[in-house]
Amino acid sequence: MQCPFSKKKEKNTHNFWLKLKVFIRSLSPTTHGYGYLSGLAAANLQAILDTTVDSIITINESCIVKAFNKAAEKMFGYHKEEIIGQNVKILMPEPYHSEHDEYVQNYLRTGEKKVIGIGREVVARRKDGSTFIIDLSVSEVIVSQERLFTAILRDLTGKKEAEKIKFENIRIETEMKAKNSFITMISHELRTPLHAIMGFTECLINEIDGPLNETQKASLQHSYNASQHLLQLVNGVLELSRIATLQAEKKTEKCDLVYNLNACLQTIEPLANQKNIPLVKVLPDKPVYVDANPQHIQQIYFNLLSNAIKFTDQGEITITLNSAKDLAFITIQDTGIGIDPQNLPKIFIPFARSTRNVDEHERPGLGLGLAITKQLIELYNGTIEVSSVKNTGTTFRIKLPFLDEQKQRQENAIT
Amino acid sequence: MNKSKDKKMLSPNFILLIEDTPSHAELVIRILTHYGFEIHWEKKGYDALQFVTEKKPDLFLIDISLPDITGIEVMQKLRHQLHTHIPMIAITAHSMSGTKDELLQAGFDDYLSKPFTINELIGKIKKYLSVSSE
Repeated sequence: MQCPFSKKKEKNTHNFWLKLKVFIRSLSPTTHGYGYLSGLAAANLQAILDTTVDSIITINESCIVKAFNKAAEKMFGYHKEEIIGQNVKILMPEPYHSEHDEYVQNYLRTGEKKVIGIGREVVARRKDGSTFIIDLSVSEVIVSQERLFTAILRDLTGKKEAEKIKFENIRIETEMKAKNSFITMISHELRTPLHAIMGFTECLINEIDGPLNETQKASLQHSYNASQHLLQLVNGVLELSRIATLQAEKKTEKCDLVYNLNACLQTIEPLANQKNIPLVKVLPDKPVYVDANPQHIQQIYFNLLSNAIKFTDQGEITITLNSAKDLAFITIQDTGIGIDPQNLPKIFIPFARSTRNVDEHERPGLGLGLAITKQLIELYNGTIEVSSVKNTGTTFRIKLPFLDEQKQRQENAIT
Repeated sequence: MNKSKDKKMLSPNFILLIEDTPSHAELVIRILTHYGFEIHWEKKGYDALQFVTEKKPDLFLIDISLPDITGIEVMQKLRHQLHTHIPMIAITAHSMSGTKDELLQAGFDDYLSKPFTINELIGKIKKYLSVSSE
């Protein structure tokens, strides 16, 4: 009799079981190995059982374990010797542990199947008492007038974990969308009353409704300035929430970092000139392309450069742009007031600045610019780092991946 | 597009404001009256469409969020109803960067984002009307 199993790994558990069943049925009862197999057949079968990735356990009508393969040993933490001869319910947690004998007896009496030939997910128990979910399929064979049940077990822990992670990701994404649409709605609702507050205050300050004395005007100016600050906060929150939802609808194009820096400098240079701070540019003579929205790139430049100008009273601001391998590097270095070491880790956190009043120089700002800048850079798989020495200056270093190394080379070859 | 330059202007300029928030309407009325404009306020889109059958303004200020139909729909119906191009400025409390382009593409001449300043409001209106006020 030729063994029906090839040495190659069985892909299909069902097929494997069918062959196994046919094989077992075809064997003559002997006193070797499994008791009913010839020496060679028993060795063959043992080899198969021990190399298969699924756990295979055979029990008799009395639920006594007759065979326990290596995969089962690994799955349950028992040695074969410990388990063979034991009732299989040792591998089951409650309530299956107590119900199993009765279930098998019921099946033997009525033929009512719950698992046999059907397969289902059940909970199993390891030697250490821990439980785990398995996919269980059981088949029944009669060998030498003895009724045997062979179970094939597959650990579903990994699959369940993956399902859990997938479910969790969907939940987080849904929550984030809901949160962002809530923020957008709130921001819109906040702007509506602000419009009335600011508008009527401005009417009063401009004496549209009649003349005011200087004290009254000054008081109203305070109100107006405060509402303007509130408006900036509302706009900032809206902008942050908008960037958070951009990932899904990110529209990118071939974007030259050099060109966009020069475009941004047209807006920024007048601010630097007002404070007599020279902007030193160290730029490559070729374009440096990244895959991004040019408006976002300009916003990154604008936020960092306007910050540098705001916090620098003397010296200069140096903008360096270069590239290596598949990354573009932007460095913005100022000779400004610097950042306290304890505040450095918090600078990319929204509102961290405004809530801590860290700026003893009373420079206006919300503490949102750097948070937005970081989110924009990360949107394009880039990174931003900061280093600073108090009263000496601050340096921001940005890394952005190239558009595509091959495309980049082609573009440079053409230009 | 035929802007107001070649239009024969009436004096004072007559502006139709379509706005559902009373305080916002009151604000615009106060500013525009101060600057010498004649202004009529309608709270609902369909009422404005009805009003236009009797009297035609020189410029429309249309809030985007209206209780009956959207400001965009009002603008489109007005464009269909009127045989001459009358400047229409959208007013919205949305500040999303894409909004402005959407409104211009839909057919508005310009756009004001709430909260706007007196200068912004008057500046936009002057852009479309030859105003001799103040």
